[in-house]
Formats: sequence, structure tokens, C-alpha cells
Amino acid sequence: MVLTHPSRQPGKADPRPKHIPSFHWNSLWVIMAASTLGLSLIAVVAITLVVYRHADAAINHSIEQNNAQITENVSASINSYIKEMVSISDNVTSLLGRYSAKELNSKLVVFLREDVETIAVFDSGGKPVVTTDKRTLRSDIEITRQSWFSGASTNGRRYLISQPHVQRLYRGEYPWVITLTRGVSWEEGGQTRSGIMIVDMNFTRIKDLCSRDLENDGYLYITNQQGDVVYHPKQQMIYAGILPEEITLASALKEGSSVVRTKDVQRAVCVKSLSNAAWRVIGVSSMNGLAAYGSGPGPYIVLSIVLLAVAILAGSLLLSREMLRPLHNLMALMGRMTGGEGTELAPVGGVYEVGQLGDSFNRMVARIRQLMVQVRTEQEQLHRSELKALNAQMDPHFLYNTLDSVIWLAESGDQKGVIQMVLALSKYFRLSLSGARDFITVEDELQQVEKYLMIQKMRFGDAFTYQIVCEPEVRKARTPKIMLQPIAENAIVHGVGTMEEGGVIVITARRSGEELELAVRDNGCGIKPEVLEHILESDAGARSGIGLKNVHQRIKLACGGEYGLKVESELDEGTTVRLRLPLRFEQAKKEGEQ
Amino acid sequence: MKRAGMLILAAAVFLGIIGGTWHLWSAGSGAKKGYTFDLIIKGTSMEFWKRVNEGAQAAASTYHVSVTMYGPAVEKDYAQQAGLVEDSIARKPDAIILAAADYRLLAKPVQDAIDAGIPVIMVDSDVDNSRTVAYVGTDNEKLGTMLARQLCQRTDAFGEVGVVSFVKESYPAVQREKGFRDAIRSDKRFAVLDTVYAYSDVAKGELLTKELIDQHPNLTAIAALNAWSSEGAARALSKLGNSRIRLFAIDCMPEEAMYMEEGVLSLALLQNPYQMGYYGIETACRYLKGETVGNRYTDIYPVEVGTMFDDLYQQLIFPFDS
Repeated sequence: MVLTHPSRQPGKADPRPKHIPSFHWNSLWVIMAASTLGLSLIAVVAITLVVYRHADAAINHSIEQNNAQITENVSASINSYIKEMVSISDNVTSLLGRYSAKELNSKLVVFLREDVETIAVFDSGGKPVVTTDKRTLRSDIEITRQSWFSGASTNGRRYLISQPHVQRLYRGEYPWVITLTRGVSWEEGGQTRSGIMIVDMNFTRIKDLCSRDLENDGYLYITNQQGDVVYHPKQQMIYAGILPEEITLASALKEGSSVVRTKDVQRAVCVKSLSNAAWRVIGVSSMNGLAAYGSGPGPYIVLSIVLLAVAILAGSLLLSREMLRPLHNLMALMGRMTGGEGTELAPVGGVYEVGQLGDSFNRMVARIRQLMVQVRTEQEQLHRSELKALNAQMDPHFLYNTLDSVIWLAESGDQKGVIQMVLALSKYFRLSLSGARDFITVEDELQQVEKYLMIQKMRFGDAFTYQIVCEPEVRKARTPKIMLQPIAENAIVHGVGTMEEGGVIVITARRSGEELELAVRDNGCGIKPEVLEHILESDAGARSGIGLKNVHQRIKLACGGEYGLKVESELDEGTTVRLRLPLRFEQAKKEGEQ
Repeated sequence: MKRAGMLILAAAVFLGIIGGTWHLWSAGSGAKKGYTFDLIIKGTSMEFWKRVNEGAQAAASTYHVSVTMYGPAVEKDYAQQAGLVEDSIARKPDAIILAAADYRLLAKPVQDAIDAGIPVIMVDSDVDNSRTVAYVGTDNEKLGTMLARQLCQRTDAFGEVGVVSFVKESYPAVQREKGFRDAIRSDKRFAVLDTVYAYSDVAKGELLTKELIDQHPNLTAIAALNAWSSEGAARALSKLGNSRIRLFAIDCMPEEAMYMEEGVLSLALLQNPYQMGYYGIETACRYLKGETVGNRYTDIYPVEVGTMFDDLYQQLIFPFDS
């Protein structure tokens, strides 16, 4: 498993709500699963190691006991075997006194057995006195110079057991034997003669006893008290100079069982001295514990740990996913809410912490909603006051001019004109003010602009004519108030007002698709293209067109950014200003009345 | 980042656990490679080869490998060996440890084994193939040289020297004879006769020796180049009661020990077949482990009547089991 530095993946930025979140290295799920897995594995391995060590020690203990047991048994067997030989020699000794050598030869046959190679008595000169078999002893060897003869004690009570050696008493026969020697004395012809008796034991018997298989590469060997090897199953190896280590292993050890540790193995070594021979039987077993069984427990342990790890991984993934389910649900709900769906979280039950989190989130969302409403209201109020300010900006401008005209009419004594103008003015203002409403009907709007045009026409001494056309369909449609008047004013001031006569202003109201289109057309001098290009831009700076910009902004504020003015003009031909407005009736009326 | 640290820690713990379990695993089974080797020798019923097998089995238990011995029952059936090698190739052992009965005859089967990807380690007798892994055994030329030197030292009489060899084309026979002839050439007292070949057959050795003695009245010494040749030669000399001609032998079996005690056999050079078997397997194991291995020469011991019952030599001459 390779863990990379947890990085945010592209999917993370995706705001879409997801019920089951995609996989992330740093997700709580993974962390929980990994830590559960880690902890459980540590526990499993720790327990395994403890149990393993314990079992290992127990097995080693039993190996040690077994080793000691077998060594004990084998040395007992060898002991009793040697004891048999000693008793044979005892019997022969006792017979020696009673029978002559000739008689004895036939008597000794009863003592012969397969594992007894030779029973013989030699006199002190090495001359055979008694032999057990028909085979003739070789004459060409000097008995007295054989090590078993020269080393033998003439003391009748003591016997000696030789090292295993090749006996060569008969021609062409070279058996491996252990020779038991003891001093004997007998009466012959009234004389007491003394000599040496030998019992040659076939070494195969002892070798077979020692070849008993011990467990765990175990083996038995025999040394004399000086530590020289009497028998070793790997004697050949010793002579080949290959295996020096274990030979010296036991020489320093005391009687009994002990554990010897060499560089890579520990061994149970049991030393048992024989009571009937100056030998030590040594049993050696490798203490490799559980590993003694076949290829060792390693594969099983590793396999079970791996299986456990897989099980724990699956379990912890499922468990932690189950535990995290409320949280994931909450996440999904939150995601959906931030995406704009839903209004409130259903209370997330079950887990306390998650419930609390849900509650807090609910409270937070409620607060955000409240704030959003507040912000919207404030924004609307701001718009409205701005609108009012624009309205107010317009009014005095016109009032001064009209009052100037009234004064001028009064001075010139045109009483009728004064009345007409003041009436129009009064009508105009009534429509302009029309309560606090921002929206009025197209009908009223047209009436208002008519009053205005009427006043202006009188002021300009009938230098232009005007015409107002309204489709009946749109008569009751809603429009922000005082839209047409500034445009009409523009048409007069910059358009027909400069002409001596013949100026015409046409105002139309009609439906254009789903929109309401109001248009003011004049046949005045038109607008220069470079001016026309920037005429609606709010920071055009110049005083000219300030009315157009006002109207344009007000429409946008009141009805939305997609509505507004459109100005078409051609020099010396005239100008058409179109107002694009939403076509609204009842609803707009309500809104306007609010 | 804290969380990243935690994850890295978790990964480290996890890897530690895997490592630990792996350690357990290898502690349990890592040492055991379980190689299977075929040991193909010249005569399964013969003492010398039994000893080679004992050494091989001892090495097998030391290195935890399994070794099976194959071969003709007796050495004189050496012609069967090529077929045995081909059989072994079919078994696909990890290595073949071979004592070639014939230097040239076995060259092709050995090449077949090598072509099949089976390394071949030669013991006791080499083969005419330079692509074997190594040779483990007696330095046969040196053995011949030593035999010649002992002969020269221990023979006072001037005269002719007979050589009783075994299989004419076998490499040890060739090498021993070469070593022997090269060493004795400098000593002008002796004239070496044409070699006779007993083909590891005691009776034939006896017959050939008898012929030698009959045809060459000036014969003062005989060099017998292997156990069966020397046994045959010793029998012939013993039967003739000829104590004038001295016999020098390579290898010594119990029967020859008797002749040595009786003075028929003056000296024997002992080889150590146990070492051959042991080191043969050891070399195969080390080669498979990727170590560099080379030829390995086993010990040679000159033995005469006074030393033949020494601890080491009596073990070599009279094995426990016989």
C-alpha cells in the first residue's frame, strides 16, 4: 500500500450534492478504516507472537524432556547390555576354577550369542587357553601387543571396556567390537595360573541402540570420560574433518540436561554417564520449536494474518461506513441545500453529534436566509430612493421653464393661453405625482406627455405638431412614470425646437411580442453618429442627453437589465427613441401599488 | 499536514507488520530450499560408493536437500551409466552429481544434462566436458605420482614394474597412470611395462597379474590403480606365494587389509569417498546459491601395515556397516 500525500481531487470542488462521497485518501472513512485495521493488526500480530513464543517454548521444553528421556533409556540399555557381558564374564570366571580348559571349551558354547564375537582366555604370555569357537585364532599376531591386552588389569575384580576397534583374531575377519577384559586366575595341574579373559561384543548392537532416532535431527553419541568420541553417528564426518563443532559440545557439560546455544541453533543436550563403563552417552536434539513441524508454522501464521487483515479491512470499511452514514446523509443534505434545493434540513436523528451538527446547520441556514431577505429589502429601498431622486431631478427643470412661459404669456396678456397652460400644467403635475406610485398605466403616461407637449407647443409658438398613437391593447399596461416626458423634451430641445416650423413629434405605444414598446419619433436635425454612439453611457459626461440616460437607468432599475432605450437617428432626418418595457398588467399594477 | 502524517504513520505500522510476519515466515521456512539432487555413481552395492553416498546424505541433512543415489549395482557394469544419466535428465533434478565411469562415453549424456539446464558436478571421475560445474575428488594425477614415489622408496630391487589399471578410458585411470609414469620415469632402476586393464573385475585382475608374473621374470613391483585391480593382484601374489614382488595399491578393502597384514600388499593409498560425497553436494548447493565454486581435491592417506589400525584408517578400511 502506497499512500500519497492526500491531495484535493478535482471532484472535490464539484458542488453537486452526492449521497455517497467519492473516494478520498483524507476522508474520515479511510482514516477510520485504516486506523481500525492498523490497531487490529497490531493486536493480532502481538497476540500471535505471544502465543507463538509460548508454544515454541512449550515445544522446546518437550523436546528437551524427550531428549533426556531417550538418552536415559539408551544409556540404561547400554548399561544393561554391558551388565550382561559382565555377567557372562563372571560366569566364565566361576567355571574356570571347576573345569579344565578342554571341558570349558564345550561349556562356553552356551554363552555364545549373535552379538558376542569371541569369548577367550589368554594366559599371561598371550597364549590362548580357552576359546569359544572352532575358528582358529591367528598365529601371526602378538596378543600381548594388542592394546586391549596390554591395558587390561590382572586384578580379577575389575574389568575394562575398550574403545570400539577392529578385532583381528581370525584371518580375513575384521569385525568392530568392544572388548571387555578382566584378569582371571585358575587352577591347572595344581598350579594357580593367571591370565586375561576377553569378551568381544559386536559393536553393531550398541550402534543400533544409539541409532534410535531422536526427534528434530537429534542423535546420540558416546564419549569416554576424557571426551574422546567412542561412537558418533557422524563419525565419518569427524574423520573427514567436516564437523568439528558438536564433538566438543558436551565435553564441558555436566551430567544431566542442558541447553546449548550455538550461533544459529539451540540444542537440548543431555549427558548421562554409564555406571558399567567409563562412557558418557550424550543425546542432542535441535530445539527449533514450532519450526520442527514440517516447513514451520510461518506460512500458516502469515496466511491467517493476511486473511484476518482482509477480513478486518472489509469489516472496518463497512463498520466505519455504517458509523459515518448519518454524517454522509448530512453532507448530502447540506450539499443539496447549498445547491439551492430545499429549505430546511429534516432533523438528522440517531447520532447525537450529527444531530447537533444538523441543528447548528439549520440555525445557520435560517440566519443566512434572514440576512438574505434583509439585504434584498435594503437593496429595493435603495433602488426606490434612487428612483425618487431621479424623478425629483426632473421636476424643477420643467417647472421653471413652464412658469417662465406662463409669465411670458401673462406679460403678453394672453389670458386664454395662461389658463390653458396652467390647466395643462396642473393636469401634468397631477399625473406626474399620481400618488407615491412609481408605475402608472400607459394611458396616463401618454396623457401626461400630451399635457407636456401641449405646454411646450404653446411655448414654442406652434413651431411643431405632435401626434400620439396608442394601440388599445396596451392602454392599460403598466409603465414606470415620467418616461416619455424627458424624451419628448429632448425631441423638442435638440430636434424640432431648432426648426422654424414643420416639426413633428409622433409618440406611439404598441405591443412588440411580449414587450411593450413606446416610441418617440421626431423629424428634427438628428444626432451626430459620434454622439449617438455614446449617448446612453452613464459617464458620457456632457449635459446633453442627461434625460435619456435617466430614463434608460430608471427602466433598468425598475424592470431589469434587459430593458431600456434604443436610439436611432440620422442627421437632418430625425430621431427615433424606443423604450422597451415588459408588458405587464394586473401584477404590475399590484406591484406598483405596493 | 497532520492527517497526512497520521496516514504515513499508519502505512509505516502496516508495513512493519507485513515485514514482521514475513520475518516469521522466513524464520520458519526460509532456510529450506528443498533442492533435489541425483547422485549417479559407478556401483551401488560397493563399499566405496556406499561411502560416497553416506557423505552425500550427511551433506543433504546439513543443507536440507534431498539426494538420491543411482548407479549400476557393480562397477564393471559401467556401460549402463549413460542410460542412467539420461533417465536422470528426465527427472529434472536441480543438479546431477556424477562419477563418470567412462571419460568419453559419458560426455554426451553430460552435455545433454547441461543443455537441459541441469548443472553437473563431477565426483571421483571427471568427464570429457569442460562445461561441468566442478570436479570434487581425489587429484588422480597426484595419486599416481604418490604411488610411484612410494614404490621407488620401498623397492630395493632393480627390475620391471607392472601396472594393473581398471577401465582404460576412465579419466581417473588415465590420470593415475600419467602421474605414475611421469614420476617413475626419473628413476632409472625401473622399467615400466605396458599397462593391463582389469575393468574393475577382481578375477580379471588376478588373471592379468598372473600373466604379468609369468611373462616377466624381472618383475619387482606391481602398481594396482584401483581397489579391484589391487585385490586381484594381491590374490594372485598370495596364491603364488611370491614375496619377492611388492604390491602398491590405490584403495584398500577389508580383503586387501588381510593381504597387507600378511605382507603381500606393501602400501595402499586411501582416498576419502565420504569427503567426495559430502563436498560434491556442498559444491552443488553453493553453486545453486550463486557462489563461485571450483574443483575440490579430497584427502589421500598412505597406509601400511603399521598404521592400518589407527583410528582414522581403520574407519576408512573397515567401515562400521560392513
